[in-house]
Amino acid sequence: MTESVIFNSYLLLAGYGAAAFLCVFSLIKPSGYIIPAISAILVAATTVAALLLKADLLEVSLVVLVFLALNLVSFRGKGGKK
Amino acid sequence: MNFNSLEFLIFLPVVLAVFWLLPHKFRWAWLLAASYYFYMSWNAWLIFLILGTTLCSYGAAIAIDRTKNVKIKKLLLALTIIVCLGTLVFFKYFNFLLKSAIDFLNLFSMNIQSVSLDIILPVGISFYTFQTLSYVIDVYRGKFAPEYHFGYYALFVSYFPQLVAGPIERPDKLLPQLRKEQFISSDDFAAGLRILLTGFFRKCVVADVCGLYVNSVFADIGAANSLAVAIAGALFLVQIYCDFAGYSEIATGAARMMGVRLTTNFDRPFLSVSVTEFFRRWHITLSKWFADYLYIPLGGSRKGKARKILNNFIVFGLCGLWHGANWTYFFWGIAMAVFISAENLFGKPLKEFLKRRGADIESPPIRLARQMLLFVALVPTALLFRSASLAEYGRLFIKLFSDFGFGADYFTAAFSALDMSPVGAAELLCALVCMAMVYNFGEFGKDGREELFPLSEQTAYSRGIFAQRYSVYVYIVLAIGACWLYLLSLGGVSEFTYFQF
Repeated sequence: MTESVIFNSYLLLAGYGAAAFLCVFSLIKPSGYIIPAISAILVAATTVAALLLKADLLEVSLVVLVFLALNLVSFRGKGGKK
Repeated sequence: MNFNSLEFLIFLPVVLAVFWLLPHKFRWAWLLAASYYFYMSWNAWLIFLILGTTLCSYGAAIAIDRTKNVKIKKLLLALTIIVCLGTLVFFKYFNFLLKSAIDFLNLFSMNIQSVSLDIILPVGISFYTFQTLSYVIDVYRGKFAPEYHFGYYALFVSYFPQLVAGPIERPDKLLPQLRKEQFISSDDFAAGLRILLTGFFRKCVVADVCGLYVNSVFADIGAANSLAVAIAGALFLVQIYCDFAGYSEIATGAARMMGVRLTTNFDRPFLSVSVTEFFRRWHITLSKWFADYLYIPLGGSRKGKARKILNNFIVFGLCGLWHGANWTYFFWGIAMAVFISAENLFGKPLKEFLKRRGADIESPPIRLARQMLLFVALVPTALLFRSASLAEYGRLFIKLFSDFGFGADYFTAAFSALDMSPVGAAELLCALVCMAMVYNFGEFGKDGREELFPLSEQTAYSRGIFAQRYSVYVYIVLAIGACWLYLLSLGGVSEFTYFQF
């Protein structure tokens, strides 16, 4: 198995870590749209950096899917009728 | 030109831009030209086949409508069915029938050498043939007047979003929408984009990644143990669902951006608790086609239990063969008929028995158990559907029920047969969890039940999910992009499975 680029780069870990912190924070304490937006921008920017650092694409998609799942949690019980 | 190709990502915006720029009276011509170009990107010559089918059904429907003589009406209908189905049988089943006949005769030591014709299988032939047949039969039944404008009718047959893999549209639903002057609507456009996104997500992030592991097992069945075969079967079930539902969503999304609403083809089939319910939720337009034009004319359930079971076997046997010229598809259909017949025979007495014992089979935990049981029961049939031959299925079936183990080696061997790394397994698990969340937490609308986020911006804002919604779009696009590039790096994105049908 090839070595993980994401887990060996402090920059990427910091980017994803900060985004995860903001994402979880906005889940626990809903606080408008600024924090989720910053989190999404951080994920997008870190993902671009990960791709430039030639991270494994499957690994990148795994991280993105974790963020997607975290965001989908906030929809629980808030969907339904128009 | 696959929906998941770069060409389509250029083709669709160009078609949409010109469509909305043109005045209404020229739009049909533009869409028809685009649809024919889309179809010709596979094989330019096959356009004559679709043109022939279009001309034949167009003329027949007008002739049926004009003539007052019932016998001539019947004759015209029979001729059209023979021509349309004959074309389908020739292109799709000729070699299969010939080989089956030779194999059968060789059972009696006739020693006939195998021969076959070099016939190209036209993409989507089963879909547009069924669509034209439903048009002619409905005109014969007097359900509606035939379409006199050849351009609109040709567009109905070859409308590019649903041309090669459905949904199989009915003329009374699609033709009026194609004729109606559409006005650009930001709601329709946004809804179309959302449906398109979920379709690409299903195809690129779930189906194609599942496909990698399923293909590994099928490439070397000898190396797989029962766990690997069972996981491959389960993954194939998810793959075929996401592949086809993904295609249907991309088709629906593309059409919606032109103001056209296609029929919903899937309604969360894995939430079904019986095979009967499963087929009410899976490939809905094909199930309805078979119900309306074969099952009910055969007598349906009106002529007693024995006849109902026979009708089930006829319909599902043919439904199986509709998927492809292979005995595996036929026996898959027969397996489904066995399940449905068993449900018809024993379902009601079993429910009453359990009710007398005080069991609430509709309670959420029991329903979940029934859903899981149905999924497990469908795994062996999924393997049959995926197998290239009955012999291959036989090997898989034996593996599935014989090659057991309990130690760590057993699990390691299964994952190495699947060629699945921990990252790959985690990615797939996350993708499936996301899909399940969309199922359960999504804001499902009345139409397009699997559509993401049909809520208005204001409602989303008031419920505190405004920003998350846009974050979800960002993550979905990123996940699609990463998986798409990953699949490209492995040798290219795969075709949609249902294209071959």
